[in-house]
Amino acid sequence: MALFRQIRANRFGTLFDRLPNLETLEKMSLHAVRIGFIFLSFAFITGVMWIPHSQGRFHFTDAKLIGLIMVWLIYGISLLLRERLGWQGQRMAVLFTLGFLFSFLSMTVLNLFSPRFHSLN
Amino acid sequence: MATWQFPPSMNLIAVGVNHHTAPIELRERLAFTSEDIRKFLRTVCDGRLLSEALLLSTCNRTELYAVPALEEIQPAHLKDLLIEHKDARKVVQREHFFSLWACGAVKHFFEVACGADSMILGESQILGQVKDAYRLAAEEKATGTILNKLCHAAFSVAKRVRTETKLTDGAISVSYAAVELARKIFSDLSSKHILLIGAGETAELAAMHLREKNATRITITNRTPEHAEALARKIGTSNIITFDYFRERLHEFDIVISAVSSVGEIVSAHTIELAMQKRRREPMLILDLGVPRNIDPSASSLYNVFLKDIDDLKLITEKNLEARRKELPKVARIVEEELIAFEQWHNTLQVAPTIRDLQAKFEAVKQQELERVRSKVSPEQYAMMEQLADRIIKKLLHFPISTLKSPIDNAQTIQSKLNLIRHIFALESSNTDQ
Repeated sequence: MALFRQIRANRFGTLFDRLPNLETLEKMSLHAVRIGFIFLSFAFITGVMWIPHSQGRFHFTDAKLIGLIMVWLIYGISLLLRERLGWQGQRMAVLFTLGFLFSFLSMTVLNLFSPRFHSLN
Repeated sequence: MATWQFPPSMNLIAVGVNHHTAPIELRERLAFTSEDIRKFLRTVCDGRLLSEALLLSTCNRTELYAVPALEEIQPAHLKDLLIEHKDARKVVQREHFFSLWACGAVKHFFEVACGADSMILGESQILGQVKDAYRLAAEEKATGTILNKLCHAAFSVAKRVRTETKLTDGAISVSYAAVELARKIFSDLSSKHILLIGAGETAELAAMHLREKNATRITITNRTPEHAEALARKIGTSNIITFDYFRERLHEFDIVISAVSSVGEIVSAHTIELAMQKRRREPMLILDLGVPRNIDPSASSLYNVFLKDIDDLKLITEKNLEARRKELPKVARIVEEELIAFEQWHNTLQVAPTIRDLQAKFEAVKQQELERVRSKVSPEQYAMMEQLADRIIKKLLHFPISTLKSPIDNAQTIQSKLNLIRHIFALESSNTDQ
């Protein structure tokens, strides 16, 4: 995104010199998201199957589970938009960054404020 | 008894005109073609004026590097030789030349070879021109010990500058900057469809740079189809589309380079918008190298359209030029290191006659002493004694010779050492050839 904006704005600075080209960066992020999405889906399914057995008070309105679903949806919609509508470039980068920020926040905030592993109560 | 004299110190003179000393009109008058250079070298070297000579003539400089055969020869004589050879007495004066001696000449030659002295800082074409000049001089047998070593050292400097500094990095011409920008957006130019609008000099330069970066799918369009065909032949493509039709096919191209002069706008933002819709907003780089601009500037706001004109590309070239200037201290350090190495090599030339004399002296003593006992011992014993004497001489001479060849010496200390050695061992006769 930064390189995209630098090239658009004619600011040929350090990022322009050091970073690989836009196409490579996009391919790298797309590969990372695709692989990450597969693993996330796998973790989601196995988690949903396993949690009721291990956590007695578990409920499907669990905050961490909702956070995970949100992240999964953001990346899933991003990939769908890419495949179906041909979204790419800065728009995809924005969606991927949003997904990353959301997953980062949901992990840190929930872990900081939750007394138990799967609950805010 | 012959009196030994020191071999002369580095006897190298450089004279010439370049972009620092003379305007282009004068440099043009002193420009030499390859045939001119051969003729000049034959004249000056056959006439016993110079023992070695190399003439470098490019669009920005004409420089003569010479080892005079006679001590009386001064830079002024060399300047006159160049002026008279080109019959430019009325236009070019001695004041338009620079003159450099010994290490100064060597340093200048190194800076020229690596591009640090070029008008376009860091341009790499000059190294090829220096190599050509050396080849011509070598073919005319005008080079000898000094210039052969000088040229090879200069090639080494150029190689070090290219690998150890960023003096030659980055585009500094607009057409090359255009290609560099394309490579910052697309990963592989060989898979990209490129449209070249125009077939003039700028378009040709851009096409050549693209070819260098493996771009093969180049299509050309031009108002005059004959010009498009000529350029297509030059760059080895057969893809030509008619000028009236290229807008309909604009969506097929990832990179569009427009370099049509004195025409004005030939592609509107609406045309580009339609093309972007057809190509599902895949990124498109449009480089407008025309003056006045050929592409509607408002197209730059369209999503995934990278529209750059000459002013935008000049920002890249200026940035690169500034980066090259910052590399000059590193280049100066490399030149200095190589200059010291060259001077040390040259100093070893001065000690060679003394080493030869020293070895001859010891050999003579050995022969003289062995001769005295030859009749008193058997041939086997004589052979053993000779071997023993050789080993002793080798060990005795090892330290004086390695001291003489010491790389830390400069011209002054080496002369005092030579004096001392010759005095201690009473070395009188000598050949001072180098």
